[in-house]
Amino acid sequence: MHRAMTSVGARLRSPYLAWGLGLAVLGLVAGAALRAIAAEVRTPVPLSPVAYTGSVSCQPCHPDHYDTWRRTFHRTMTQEAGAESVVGDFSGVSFTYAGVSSRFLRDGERFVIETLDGEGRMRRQEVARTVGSRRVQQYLVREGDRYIRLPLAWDIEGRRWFHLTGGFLDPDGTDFNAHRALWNANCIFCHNVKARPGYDWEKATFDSHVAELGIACEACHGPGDEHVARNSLPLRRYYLHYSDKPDPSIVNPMRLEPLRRIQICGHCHGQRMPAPLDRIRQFLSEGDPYTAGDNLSSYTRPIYRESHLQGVDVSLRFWRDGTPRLTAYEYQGLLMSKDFQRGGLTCQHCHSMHGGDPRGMITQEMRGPAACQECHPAIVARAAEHSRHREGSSGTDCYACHMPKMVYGIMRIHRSHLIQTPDPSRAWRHDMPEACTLCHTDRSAKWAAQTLRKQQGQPPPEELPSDPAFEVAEGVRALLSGDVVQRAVAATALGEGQSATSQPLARLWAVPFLLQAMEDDYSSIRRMAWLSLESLVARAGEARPALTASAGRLPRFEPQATREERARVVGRWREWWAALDKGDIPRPDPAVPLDAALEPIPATIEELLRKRAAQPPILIGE
Amino acid sequence: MTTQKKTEAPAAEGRARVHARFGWTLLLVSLVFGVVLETLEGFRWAPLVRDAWMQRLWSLAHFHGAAFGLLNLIYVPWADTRALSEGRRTSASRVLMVGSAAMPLGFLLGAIGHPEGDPSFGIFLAPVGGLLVLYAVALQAIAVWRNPSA
Repeated sequence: MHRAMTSVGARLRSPYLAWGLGLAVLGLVAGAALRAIAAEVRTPVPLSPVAYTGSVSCQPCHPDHYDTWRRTFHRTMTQEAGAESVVGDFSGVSFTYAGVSSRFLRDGERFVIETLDGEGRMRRQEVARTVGSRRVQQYLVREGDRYIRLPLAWDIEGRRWFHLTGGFLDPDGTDFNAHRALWNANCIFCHNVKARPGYDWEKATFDSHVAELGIACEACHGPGDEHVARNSLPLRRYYLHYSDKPDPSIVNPMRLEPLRRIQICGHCHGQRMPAPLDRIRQFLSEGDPYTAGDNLSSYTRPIYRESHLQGVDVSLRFWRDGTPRLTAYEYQGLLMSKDFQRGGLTCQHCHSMHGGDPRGMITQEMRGPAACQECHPAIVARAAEHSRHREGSSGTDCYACHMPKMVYGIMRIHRSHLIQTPDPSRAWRHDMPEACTLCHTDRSAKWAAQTLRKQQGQPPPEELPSDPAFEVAEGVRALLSGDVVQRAVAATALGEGQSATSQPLARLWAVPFLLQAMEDDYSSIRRMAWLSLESLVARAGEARPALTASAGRLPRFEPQATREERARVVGRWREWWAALDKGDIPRPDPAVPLDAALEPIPATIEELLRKRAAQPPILIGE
Repeated sequence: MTTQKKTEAPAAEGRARVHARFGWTLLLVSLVFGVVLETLEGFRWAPLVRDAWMQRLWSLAHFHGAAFGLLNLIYVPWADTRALSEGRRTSASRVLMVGSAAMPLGFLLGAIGHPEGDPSFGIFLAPVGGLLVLYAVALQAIAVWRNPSA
C-alpha cells in the first residue's frame, strides 16, 4: 500500500505528467469555450436595436479595410467645415449669377459666403459643413435648428464657382434660391450614416443626429457596437478567422444573397419613396428605419417611371422605355437587368468599396471585359465577332454597347446601369439615345438600325421612322431638338474620347454644332458643349498643333456668364471656325447637315430647333 | 559518490556547452534577421511596409530572439547551479531553450498569412514560449536566493 502510494506520488511529481495534465485541462477549457462560441455564432443577432460606434472603432481590427475606405469620396461626403475639408476658393473671389454677386471669404478660421439669404437679403453666412469632395462641393450654413444647403457650389474639377441650376437641370431664369435646400430633411439621409432628422411635427423643429458624417463603415456593415463587444474575446475572433463562419453581429455584404446585397447600395443609389407613403412622417422624425442587411422593400419602394409622387413628375427621370436617365437610379437599372434577374449580378461584381480607383469605386481590370468574363466567357473571347466590330476597336468594348453613357448626374454623363442589348429603334420609338450612334456620332439612328439588321443577316427593319429628322446624324438631331437630357447626352458624346472615329481631325465637324449648343438655355448643356469643344480641339491639336495654338488665343467660355458675355465668346469661336483652314479635316457622313465649308445648313438647324421649341421646359431637380 | 560526481560534471559541462552554442546561434540568427528586416524597411519592401502587423511581429521576433540568445549566454555559468537538483537543472535548461525558440518563432509565424487585425495561429507559440522562459528564469531566481554562492 505504502509502495503504491509512493509510486503514485512520484508519478504525480513527474514534470511530464504535470505538463500533460495541465495541457489536458487547458484543452478541455478551450474546447468548452469553442463550443460555446460556436453556438453563439450560430444565433442570429437582430441589428436594428444595436448602437452605432463609428469608423474609429473599426480601425484597430480592420486597418486595411479602414484605410481603403478612408481614401474614398464616400468618407468625405459630409464633413464639418475646416481647412482640411473645404476645397472651394475662399480667397475673397466673387461670382455673379442672375445679377447676384456673391463673395467667398475667410474670416480667420471661418469660411464665409456672402450671398442672398432665404429672404432675399444679401448676408454673410458662415459655412458649417461641406457636402461632396469629388466633382462638386456644396456648402451648408446653420440657421437655428437646421442646416441649409446654399445654391452656390464649387466645381472641383473645373476649379470655379457655379450656381446649382448648372448642376441640376434647370433652364435660365430659375429662381436664385430654388436650390437653397433644407439638409435636415433631404441630403441627411444618403450622405451620412443612420440619419435621424428628429423632426417634431408639432413644434416644426429639427433635432437632427447622424451616427457618423459621411458614408462610413456602418452604412454598409450595419451598427457595430455588438460586434466590437463580442469580438473583444480573442478566442471568438480566432474561431471566426479559421472557421470561415459568418459573424452574426455584423453584416458582410458579400455573404448576403444578391437582392439583399444590392439593396445596401440601392439604399442610396436608387431613389425610393417610403412604403406606405405616409411613412415619411417616421422617416422625418425617427429616421430611415433601414439597417444594412435588412430587406429594403420592407420600408421603401424604388421610384420607377410609372411611380406617382404628389407634386413631382418622376417620369422625367426616366427614358420613355423606363430606363433611368439620372444618377442615383442605378439600383433600378440593375433590378431591371436580366443579368441581375437571371444571373444574380450585383454591384459588388464590378465595384468595390475597398479596392481600385476611388473614382467610380472600380478596379482598372473591371473597367474592361473582365467585368463580363465571369458570366459570359464565350462572348468575351470572341468579342469582335459578337459585336461585329474590328478586333481591339472601341466597338468591342462591352460597356459601350450594353451600358452606354446616357445618364445625367452631377454635371456629367454616366453609364446606364440597365444592361441592355443595343437597339437603334429606341431613338424613334422612345426618343432616347442608343448605343450605336453614341459612338458613330455622324450617323443617323436609321442608318444604325439598317446596318445592324444587315450585319445580323436579317431583312431591313420594317418599322422605320417617317420623320425626316431621323435621317440626320443622331448626335446632331438630339443635340438640337432633343429634350434637356438628350441634349446633355449628345453634347457629351460629340466630345467623348471613345468614338468610332479614331482620327481626331475627323471629329472636328462637331465644332459648329457644339457652338450652337453653347447658346442653349440650360447652362448645364452649355457647359457640356464647351467641355466637348475644348476636348475635340485639344485632341485635334495632337495632329495639327497650330490648331490648338490658334484656339488657345480665344477667350474661355463661362456657361453661367451673362448672355452678352456668352454671345461674345461664342462669336469669337465662330469666327475662328469660319477662318480655319479645313482642307485636312475629313468630311463626316452626309447625315451631318454641313455645307462645303463645314458650316451647318441653316434650314436643317432651324427645323431641328423648332422641334425643340415645341417642347415644354423641363426642370429636373433633386 | 565518486561515480555520481563523474557523471554530473560532464552533464553540467555538456549543458553549458549546449546553451553557449544555442545562445550564440540564436543571437546570430536574430541579428541576421534584424539586419534583413531593417534592409527591407529601408528599401520600403511593400509587403512589409504596408502590413503593420508584420512589421510589429517580426520586430518582436527579432528583439526576443536576440534577447533570449543573450539570456542563454548569461545562463551558461548557472547551468550547473548546486541550488537546484539535477532534475530541476535539466528541466530549467530544456525549458529555457524551448521557450527561447518558441517565443520568437511565434512572433515570426504569427506575421505570416495572418487575418486582418490579428496575428495568425502561430502566435500562440509566443505566450507558451514566454511562460517557459519565465519558468526557467523563476527556477534560477529561486536558486540564487536559496544559495547565492552556488
